[in-house]
Amino acid sequence: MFFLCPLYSQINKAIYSVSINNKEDIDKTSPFNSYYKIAQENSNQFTFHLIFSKDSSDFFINDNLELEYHSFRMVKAFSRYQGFVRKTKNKTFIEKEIDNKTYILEEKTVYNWTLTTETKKIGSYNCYKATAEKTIKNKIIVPITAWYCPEIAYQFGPNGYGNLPGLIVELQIDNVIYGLKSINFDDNTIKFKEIDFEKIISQDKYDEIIKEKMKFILDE
Amino acid sequence: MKKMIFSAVALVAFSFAGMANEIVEKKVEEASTERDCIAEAKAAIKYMQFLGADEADVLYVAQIVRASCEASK
Repeated sequence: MFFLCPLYSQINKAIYSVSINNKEDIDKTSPFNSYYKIAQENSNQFTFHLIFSKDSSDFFINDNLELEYHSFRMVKAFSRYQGFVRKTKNKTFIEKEIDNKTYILEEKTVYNWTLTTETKKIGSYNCYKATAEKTIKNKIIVPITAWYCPEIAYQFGPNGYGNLPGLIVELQIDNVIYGLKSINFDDNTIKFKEIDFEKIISQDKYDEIIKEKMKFILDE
Repeated sequence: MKKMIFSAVALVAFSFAGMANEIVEKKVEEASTERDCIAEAKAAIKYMQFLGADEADVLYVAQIVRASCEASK
């Protein structure tokens, strides 16, 4: 087994909250809207952590053990959270957990950011707006808006987003908004997670696993 | 496995139905209004995917929708 754990002197931690807003084009008669409502009502009970250095970041949901499992899953599902994300300058790895088994995928999506001159003061930081789009599997185009702060010269952000000239302090993925709650610089008690890259699988293999599990549920 | 469970439940229902014509008639009536659990699971998958849920969460919801639908039959 080999592990990869970045070792850098200055490690920082940003804590984000998430807000799951109403979505205009949602089917208002859907029987599954109750799940969405659970996520909306409980999202304020969760925080997301970004551990970052100059060269690497870890992003993950902070489990709220006081909340029942179903509510946790709904917040996770509707906050566009992909799983634990390790991001370096050139590569992004996402940990996926299915039926208590962990898989690591290399994210190949490249975001073509459009940098604008629009600014916003977030806390004490002067931030700039950048926009991009993400196409998800079923061909749905999702608009992305990031507010990044060049004053915090790190190229990371929530949910694996980044590669901008400053930390993303606010990220909007369609109707979901991640906002910076607090930031702690140079904390030597913070550590990057050890990642077992023996669990890495190809996207095709992962898709196959998902397909098989779907078939089982749908009796196909 | 679910297919087997579902078949077993159907077989038991059929055996009881065979005991009396009245029950058979009732079962036929019930069958016509029976929920389509596969269709419900498919609709849940579509809903979750539309809202950008991760595949693992899509599977989780599809499973609970299917299971709660089967349990209600």
